Amino acid sequence: MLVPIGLRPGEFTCLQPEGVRWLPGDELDLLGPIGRGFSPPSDRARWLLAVFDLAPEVLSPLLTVGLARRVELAIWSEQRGAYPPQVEVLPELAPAVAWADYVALAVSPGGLERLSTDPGLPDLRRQARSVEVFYLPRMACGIGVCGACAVEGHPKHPRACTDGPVFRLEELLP
Amino acid sequence: MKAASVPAEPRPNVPAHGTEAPYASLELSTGKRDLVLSSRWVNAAGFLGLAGEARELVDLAQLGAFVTSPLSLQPRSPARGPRLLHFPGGFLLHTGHPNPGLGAAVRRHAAAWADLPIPVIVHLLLRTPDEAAEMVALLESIDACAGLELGLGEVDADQAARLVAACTGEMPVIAQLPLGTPGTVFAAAAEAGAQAVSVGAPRGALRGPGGGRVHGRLYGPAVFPFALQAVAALRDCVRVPVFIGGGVYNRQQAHALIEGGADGVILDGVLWTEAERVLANDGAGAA
Repeated sequence: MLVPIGLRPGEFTCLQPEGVRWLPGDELDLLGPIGRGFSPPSDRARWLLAVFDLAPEVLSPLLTVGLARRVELAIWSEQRGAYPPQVEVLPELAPAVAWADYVALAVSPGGLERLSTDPGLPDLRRQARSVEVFYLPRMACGIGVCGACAVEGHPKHPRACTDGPVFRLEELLP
Repeated sequence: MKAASVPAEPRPNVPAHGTEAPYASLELSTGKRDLVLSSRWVNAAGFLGLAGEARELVDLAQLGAFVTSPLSLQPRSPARGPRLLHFPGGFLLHTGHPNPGLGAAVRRHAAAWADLPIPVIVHLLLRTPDEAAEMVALLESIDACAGLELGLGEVDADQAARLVAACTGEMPVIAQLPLGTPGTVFAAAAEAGAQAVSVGAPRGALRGPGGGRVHGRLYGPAVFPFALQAVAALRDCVRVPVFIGGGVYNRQQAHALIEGGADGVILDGVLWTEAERVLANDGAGAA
């Protein structure tokens, strides 16, 4: 899956997917855009962007949206990143969650499992007010039929490629 | 694949190769319900969904039949751990075949099956003969279900025969076994009453991100030489129609399988990328 980290007229910037080596001149056959993205509520003023097991750049488009809306922006990530000066980088997740009135989370499948099992992490289901989760498993078909990106734990096994990749927290951790 | 020795008798329902047009329609019949494929191309189970969800990608009318994603009697959850791994020439899928269970799928999709332009073959994941019989009884009440494909998995000849025997009745049955299964197992499935056999994706293993082995189904261009070799051996083992696929990414490969003795070609990964390379509407796949 190609995750856009920059969208401008005539320009598309994305992270190179894991395990892929593209060279200039290679042809790509792309399907998409697919699924649904973030939809931060318009009445939220303190946004926390948090990233587990992924490059923090995956939330760059949301940073752009937040800056345009002039909300307070903070980010928490296990990896270093370069951010605009208006964005505060927070070292601890729990106080950041308590501060925010909207949390946008990006996780790999391993990160999602940690969210529900790691006692060192805050219980977002109880402590966060509004959480959307960008869940990025490997996808095969991109049209919701193969099951490679089906979500565990949810009785209907929604597919990240068509029902996500952005979910409400309760869809991923019922 | 090991070839079993069988008498060289004409196969029922199948024109002798070389004596009729290779793309004539194919009919599987039990005498009670007929499955008529107007094209020799079918999708692999799991590649077009439960009710043609992928119709925007693929012109279903160019397929001989629509094969549903695999359905089990009870709902199944997705597999844990890595489900998709790549290797040079293909990819491994280990999804666990998540599905809502046969009953729920019938309630949700039977009406849509009736609206599809081609016959519907329901692919069943089988564990025991009793479970198989229960699933078949449910589907025999669904007019839109024209046939069954039985996902037998990695079984021996006796297990294959018992599972197929539990499913024979009103609807035509296609017994599916993985590429690499001995020909004797295919033959046992056919002798137990399957109207056709199909060759599913081979099983394999890759090293996962955590270092452990991930087992699953293999797809991609690297599979094609094995499929082409297997079809000839399988042709000697069974006298019922043979469906085979694996690594078919263009029309020439599909034709090679037909010329090698296949009665139908199963399309998998190409349906997600460049279906038009096989299904271009020039009549090659149609009667």
